[in-house]
Amino acid sequence: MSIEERLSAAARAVEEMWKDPAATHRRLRQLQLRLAVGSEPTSTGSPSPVTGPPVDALRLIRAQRGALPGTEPEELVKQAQFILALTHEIATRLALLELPSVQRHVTDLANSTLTAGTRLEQRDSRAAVANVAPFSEASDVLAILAELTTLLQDAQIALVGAAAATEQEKPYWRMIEHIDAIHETNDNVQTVKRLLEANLGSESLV
Amino acid sequence: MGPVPEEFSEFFLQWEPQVRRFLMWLDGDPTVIDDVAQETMIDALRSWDRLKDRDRPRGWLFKAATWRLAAVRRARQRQPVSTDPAVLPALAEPVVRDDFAALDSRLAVLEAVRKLPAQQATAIALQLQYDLPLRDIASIMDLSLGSVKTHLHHARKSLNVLLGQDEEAEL
Repeated sequence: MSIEERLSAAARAVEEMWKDPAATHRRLRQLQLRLAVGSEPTSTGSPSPVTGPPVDALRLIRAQRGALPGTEPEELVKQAQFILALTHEIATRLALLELPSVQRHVTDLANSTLTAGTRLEQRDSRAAVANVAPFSEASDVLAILAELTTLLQDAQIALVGAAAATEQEKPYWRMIEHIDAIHETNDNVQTVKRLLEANLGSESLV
Repeated sequence: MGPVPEEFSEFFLQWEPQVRRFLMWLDGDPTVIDDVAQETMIDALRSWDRLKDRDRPRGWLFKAATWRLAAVRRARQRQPVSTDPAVLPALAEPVVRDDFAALDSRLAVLEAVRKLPAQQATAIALQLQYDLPLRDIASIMDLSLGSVKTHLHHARKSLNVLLGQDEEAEL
């Protein structure tokens, strides 16, 4: 059997899966239950992979900014990873709005933050980023991006300060890696913000 | 989040199995498919105002599913799911595995697809499972038409090698 025939056979086999309406109804009930109880267990009973109910993005960003001053270098690195994960989550939400003027850039931002986060993350990293609530207004998005870029700048400054004060080589290079990732991310966020501002009014979020 | 609107329930019954079929090409772990499908449908509910009037919500759903799959895999890497029954909350219903039990050798080819880079596997899934035109695949993946063609070309080339190795091993 040729590769194409095998692939087509697989597609037909997959098409036969999940055809039982009763099972689909059961999964719908599971979802309704999950939303009703608010504790958000997943269908497998594991903790929600995206952790908990959606949280307002602005609140999360401001909390992170507030936590930056005086943070110890080791903790700062973890916080930088959290900020990258938060940026990824915001980019994902924005990608799902499908705004033509920024779609490609938002997708790039989501991909690059995912890659950077995965690359930089250590075993002792924080739990997954809180689930960001959807945006309802264009002004919400711009405010979030403005705060996010300030947070990224602050994080970069804090990391540069910590790197300069570090005498050991390994932590120094670890911080430099994070500075590069945060810097690149901030450039991408600023591009998205600029494009969105230029097209504000011509694109609807709803 | 408030109660689930009646029209969303209909939407769920129609589209959730399709999201699962799409995911089947990208990940063979039934618990991952369960989690990602549920997260995707919750995303859809949160964006219900945007989705409810769409004739073809498929592209949006697959896009959301792709992102959720990345998030779930990442969260699992960080925090392996406990298998200790004492730690897990009680399930509302037992998780049904019948669909997976019914798998046969035809689906072995999916294992090869899952080994491909994510974008190649996604392009193959969208083309083969849903017979989507290239421009629709490009739109869902936020890629140019040329990039999609390249991904599909490389995917088939890699599958030829991967599946050829399988056949050699069987001999």
